[in-house]
Amino acid sequence: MKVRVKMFANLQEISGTSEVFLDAETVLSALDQLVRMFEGLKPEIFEDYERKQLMARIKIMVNGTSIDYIDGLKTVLREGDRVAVFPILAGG
Amino acid sequence: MTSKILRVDMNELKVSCEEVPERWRNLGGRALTSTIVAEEVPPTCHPLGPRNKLVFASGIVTGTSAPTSGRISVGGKSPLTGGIKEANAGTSFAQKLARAGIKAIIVQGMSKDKYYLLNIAKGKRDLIEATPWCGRGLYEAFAQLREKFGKDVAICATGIAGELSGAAAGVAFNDIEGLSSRYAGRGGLGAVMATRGLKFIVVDDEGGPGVEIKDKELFKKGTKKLTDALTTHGVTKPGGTLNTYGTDALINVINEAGALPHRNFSSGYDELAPLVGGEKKAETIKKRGGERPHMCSPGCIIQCSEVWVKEGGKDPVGVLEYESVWALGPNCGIYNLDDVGELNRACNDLGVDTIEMGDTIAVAMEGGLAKFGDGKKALELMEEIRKGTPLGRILANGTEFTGKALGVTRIPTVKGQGIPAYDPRPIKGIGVTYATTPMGADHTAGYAIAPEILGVGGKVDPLDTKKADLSRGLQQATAFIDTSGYCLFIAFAVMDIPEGLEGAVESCNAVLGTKWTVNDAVALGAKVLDIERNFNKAAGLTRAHDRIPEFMKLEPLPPKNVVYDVTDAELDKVYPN
Ligand code: SF4
Repeated sequence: MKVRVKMFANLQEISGTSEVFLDAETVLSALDQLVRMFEGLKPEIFEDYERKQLMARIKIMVNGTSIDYIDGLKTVLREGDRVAVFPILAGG
Repeated sequence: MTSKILRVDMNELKVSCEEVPERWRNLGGRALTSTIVAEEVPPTCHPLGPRNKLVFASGIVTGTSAPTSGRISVGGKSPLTGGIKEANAGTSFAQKLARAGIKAIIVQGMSKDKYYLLNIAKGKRDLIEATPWCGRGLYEAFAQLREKFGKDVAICATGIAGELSGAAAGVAFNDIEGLSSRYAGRGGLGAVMATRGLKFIVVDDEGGPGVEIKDKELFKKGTKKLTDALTTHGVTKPGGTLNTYGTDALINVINEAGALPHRNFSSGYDELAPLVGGEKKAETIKKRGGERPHMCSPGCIIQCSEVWVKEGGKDPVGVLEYESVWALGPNCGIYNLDDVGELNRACNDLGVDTIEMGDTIAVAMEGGLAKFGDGKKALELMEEIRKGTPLGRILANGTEFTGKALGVTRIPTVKGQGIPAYDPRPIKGIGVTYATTPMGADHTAGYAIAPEILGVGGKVDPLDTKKADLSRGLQQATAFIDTSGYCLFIAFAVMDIPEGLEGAVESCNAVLGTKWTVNDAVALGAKVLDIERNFNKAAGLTRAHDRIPEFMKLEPLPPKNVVYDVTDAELDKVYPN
């Protein structure tokens, strides 16, 4: 499935880009490819890469819905999905 | 206790110092302004008539060395909502007022025909005629006042919009550069100030008594706990997201969540949003030689602020906050930071609240006065306020007034106040806060976005419609923070790090000599809300006013295509009595 992965805040600075297009069946596969493309993102996204454990505060949305309310890292992606990855942030 | 209440009688042009009554002693900020307004202002009075009052109070720890605590509350009956209002700002004015030994200023009565400046300096509390600075933009006026009274004075003002009695008029304060960019913006209190005949307050705290701290050891302990929390948490620490990108980092996350209102709340997502996001803005400021990070008031360790400048580093505006960028940008279909910067400059110059003005312009665009996306025309509309034309007077009265004048039915307001930068249709809890806070649509009153979207202070599903308990708890905690003098942004850290909240409460205890627990602090917040709601009830506001605009229940918001479906019964559960 061709999907669009968007990165924000310091993730943009680390990767030097704001989005990439990937072929991925699940969110985990998309993130896996992302951190292999940009090694510097690994410690920002994964607390424990081997165990595929995400950083506590990293936020991942698929088409605007947090994966916490879909199927976590196992969330299945469809053609044209938009995956957004944010570090912890807030404002007001 | 050395601090005093300053009563400014604009009928008699008399300023008097009063002892602080026992019952007000342990109050500050919002608790104090709301208590004074509830005691002294008849709830049914006309907000711009002779019986309304305007009250200023710094927070409990403001003026001490407590971190991130330069906040001032301004209170009165709101011409926008018809209810009680507390609006607050971060500014050195708050700290100087507290250090000058003034716990609150109560401005009452109305001068006959002239505008005045209240000059508070060593041994002086004088009312001076302010006519020379009337009808002028506030950037120019602030520069002239600093020229006349000294570079280190702090300034508070109402602008041209206030002079027009516009319900969108805010109360302006100086930032650390002396620009008129810090606002207690919401609710039209600038019009209350102007109708008293008070145009400016200038404060010089030199030689003032300072803020007494009853227990210095406890103060040290409490502020250290808070400082540790602020410098550890990913949102508030140096180099954290607030410090690096400012509040505007939210543009992208809220847009991605499908909840950033575009073109007068007609869509929740647009591909163009990143053009005005915090990432883009921080990069532009760096290139142009503006400032980022920056603090709105001395002693802030979060430093979320900035100085936006034009190409070539010229013409500083001050901060472009998330709310302002959204209101004057995507909400008007404008995705150009330079246009947003100039619109924000116009707001600061004319003395209007950026959120209210952004909502107003978007409604005016929907009503056919300009095309969505036309930044130049939006600026021309704002210039109508400067000229005082009939159209300018309509716009200066805010979103609802403008919508009615133009026959627009999609009017995003609650209790007459413009809805801020989160569409409540896909984020239900923030809608519960908009509907039920005594303040009218106000995100800061109970910031449900933190757990609903940001995963700060817990995690809850934004689409879950059972949010009464969440909103009530946040509203109570917020009412306490608004009382303490700490910036609300400490909440991001202290919601996740309990020792930080303990430290904030301990620092208040240290100043006052009280023995509050964290629960007592939240109970004080609940009491403040009771006072405010009772005022509103007596002013004629009912449960029918605790509602989200009808169009949000009828029109699904793309791209999630959801309506606002929290039941009235759930909204009424926030305040069962
Ligand atoms: S965090 Fe931002 S708004 Fe709050 S006091 Fe600091 S600079 Fe001002």
